[in-house]
Amino acid sequence: MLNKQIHYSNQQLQSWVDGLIYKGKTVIGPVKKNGVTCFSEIKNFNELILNERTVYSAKEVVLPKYDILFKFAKEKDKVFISKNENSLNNVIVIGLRPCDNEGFDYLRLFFKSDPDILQKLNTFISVTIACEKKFDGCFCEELGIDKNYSNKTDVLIKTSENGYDIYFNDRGNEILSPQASDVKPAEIKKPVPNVSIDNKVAYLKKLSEQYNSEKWKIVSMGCLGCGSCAFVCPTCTCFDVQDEGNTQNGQRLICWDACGMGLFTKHASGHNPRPSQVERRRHRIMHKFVYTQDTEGKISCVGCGRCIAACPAHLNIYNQALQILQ
Amino acid sequence: MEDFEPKLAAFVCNWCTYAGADLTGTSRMKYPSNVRILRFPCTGRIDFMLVMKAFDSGVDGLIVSGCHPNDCHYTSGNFHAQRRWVVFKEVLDIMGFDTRRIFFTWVSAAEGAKWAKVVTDAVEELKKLGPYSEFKKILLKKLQFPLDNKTADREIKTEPVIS
Amino acid sequence: MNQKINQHIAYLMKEKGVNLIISQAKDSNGFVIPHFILSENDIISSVIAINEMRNFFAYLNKQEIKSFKSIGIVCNYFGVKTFFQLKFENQLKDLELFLLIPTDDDFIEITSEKQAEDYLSGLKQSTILVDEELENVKKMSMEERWNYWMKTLELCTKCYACRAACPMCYCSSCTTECNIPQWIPVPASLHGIFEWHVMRAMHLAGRCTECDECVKVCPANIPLNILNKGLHNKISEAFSSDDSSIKYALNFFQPDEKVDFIK
Ligand code: SF4
Ligand code: SF4
Ligand code: SF4
Ligand code: SF4
Ligand code: FES
Repeated sequence: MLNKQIHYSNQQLQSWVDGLIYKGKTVIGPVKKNGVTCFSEIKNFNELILNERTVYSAKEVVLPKYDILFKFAKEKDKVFISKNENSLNNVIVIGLRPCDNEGFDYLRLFFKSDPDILQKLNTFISVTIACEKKFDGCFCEELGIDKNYSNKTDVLIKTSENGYDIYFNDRGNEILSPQASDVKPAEIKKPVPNVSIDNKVAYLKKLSEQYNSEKWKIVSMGCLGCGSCAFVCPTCTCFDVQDEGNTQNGQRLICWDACGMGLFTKHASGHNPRPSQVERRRHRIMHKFVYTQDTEGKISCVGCGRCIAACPAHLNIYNQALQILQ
Repeated sequence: MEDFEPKLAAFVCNWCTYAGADLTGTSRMKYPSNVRILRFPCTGRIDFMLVMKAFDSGVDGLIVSGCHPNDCHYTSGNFHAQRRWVVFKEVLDIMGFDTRRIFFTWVSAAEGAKWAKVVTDAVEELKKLGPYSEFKKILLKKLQFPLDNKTADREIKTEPVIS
Repeated sequence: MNQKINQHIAYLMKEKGVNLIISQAKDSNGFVIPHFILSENDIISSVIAINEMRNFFAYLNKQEIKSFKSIGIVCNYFGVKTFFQLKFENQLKDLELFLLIPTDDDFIEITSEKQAEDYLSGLKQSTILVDEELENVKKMSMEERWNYWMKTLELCTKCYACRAACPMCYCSSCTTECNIPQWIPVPASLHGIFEWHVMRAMHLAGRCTECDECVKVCPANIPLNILNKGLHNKISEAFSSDDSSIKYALNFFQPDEKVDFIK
């Protein structure tokens, strides 16, 4: 619960972040690399890009594009295994958006029985920036997410007159370590429980009645079967386990995988239960809006619009769902 | 780099260079023992990905050799290979890969002496260039023996023998 | 698309039995997207400058699209080039294609290889492509080039959108998917990425149509065109001065060819 509040000027915000880095914290935030905004470790405040949505979501922090689970090596008659222990202690992720937080929230549900990833998800400290405006293709509000507020973060930054209003909880307090005299109790309007969103979620669930609809053929026409939409999505969790190495040593890795790709469901026998993009696209839309309602109790699209921007055909997952339901 | 012994692989065609290398041996000509020779049916069969695989497995340099143009056992394998190498070398050059480490030659079955010279020159050149650490840096680090104390103390669990 | 094309599309659908037109449109965010016309009701008028147009020939690789058999496709110069190359590679055997190339307020229709060849030779430009980024990379030293690529490639996630969107990447089973042996390491580590890009460039050498679709779709902004154009130039320089006679350079050779670096 963000129960305290403090005001920072531009200058103060900058020196706070630079101070954290100086104190040896690992600060991760949105930066521009080759013209692509993505999350990466920063060495000073000026690297941060705070007025754009990142191309790749913040899930990279806990679920990087490939990760080593353990390494193994053999010597004479012994096998050694070295577990990869990369914790996110001491890590602060700054510049998250409310949708990124919703994404992490979903990841916590999804990985509830994976202690390693769950531990990572619960260790880093999150600093969120409220969105003033929508970016191209965002539809978070349609899904009942408040772009101006998030209660799933440790620190929330909102632009205000001559500076920023900063709301924080106890974990946030640790990294802000403000002067007691500056701190006020948070004056923030709690989002009113949104009734219409419940209707919307129930409406989206009706997609399952349309499982055999002919319209899937039309909505999947533009899909080329790449993995972009899954790789940029904050809530796509699929990965592939790979062993790399030789008879002497090697490693086991997890690598991102995507349900849009033909190989995803292909069996060793050659049979593919999702033989064409029609089934693959349907699976993705159904998974986001229907299946996770049953498994995790909520829809797993957070409306960030990243997949729409990344898709070669710019397919709009939400509009397509509505198109099917029409 | 005085005592650096480069790892060198050679992709050679069965009909000319392999026989040529054989001749080098039977005529008791000396050449560096750094080279590991791999026999291919024809240079036309040497897929460029196999060249990449050689570097993946840690060689510092590679010799690619086959029959002289017009002498290919399969008539045109080496002509196709020749065009392929031109393009492949350009890809690697554009990407900043060190193409000085790939030695393309033609060695016929009668050129035992040429083979000895090719290998000697390659090893000499590689000794000058040193190990290809730039490329090895991008390979995923594996667990290597001897395990240093720090890693061993902290992370290594000895598992029962798997046999 | 303009009035005349739209009229022609309606004609093709009514009279010629064309049942799918892959047209182009702009979505509300300003992205150029494919617009599939399945019936005359789907026809819309949209304005897209000819150099903004994309190359949607990759859709012809999809079985679902192929099954339409008789297809119209709105494209520009690169589409024609792709059509020509695909014909040469025998990929359009069972399809009846109508290429519609918009001009100022009219259009050109191309249905055969011959027409495509005439169209392309009418527009013949220099075979050496000039590209600023390519020039810059070429000017660098070897170490700088390596570092440049490592820095750039770091962002690639191996989503294979560049492969999916490329009309020339039509293999039904890609080398990346082959795991005995594993040619391309699966993880998107620098090593796996590097090998993927070497392989992609090699497999497209001499066939790439420079439509830059791969660059447009890459979420990580990888300048694949540097490799594509670099190889195009090398092939034009080394093997022929006349690009249209090459078709697939790595499938031909001249007996008197000499290569200076093969000793
Ligand atoms: S499906 Fe698309 S819009 Fe929804 S959360 Fe994933 S990337 Fe964002
Ligand atoms: S990004 Fe677009 S084309 Fe690629 S798999 Fe997703 S929906 Fe299909
Ligand atoms: S180059 Fe771009 S499009 Fe191709 S695999 Fe990498 S990230 Fe995806
Ligand atoms: S420019 Fe890219 S998408 Fe177009 S043909 Fe060449 S490799 Fe394929
Ligand atoms: S058999 Fe020697 S190069 Fe073809």
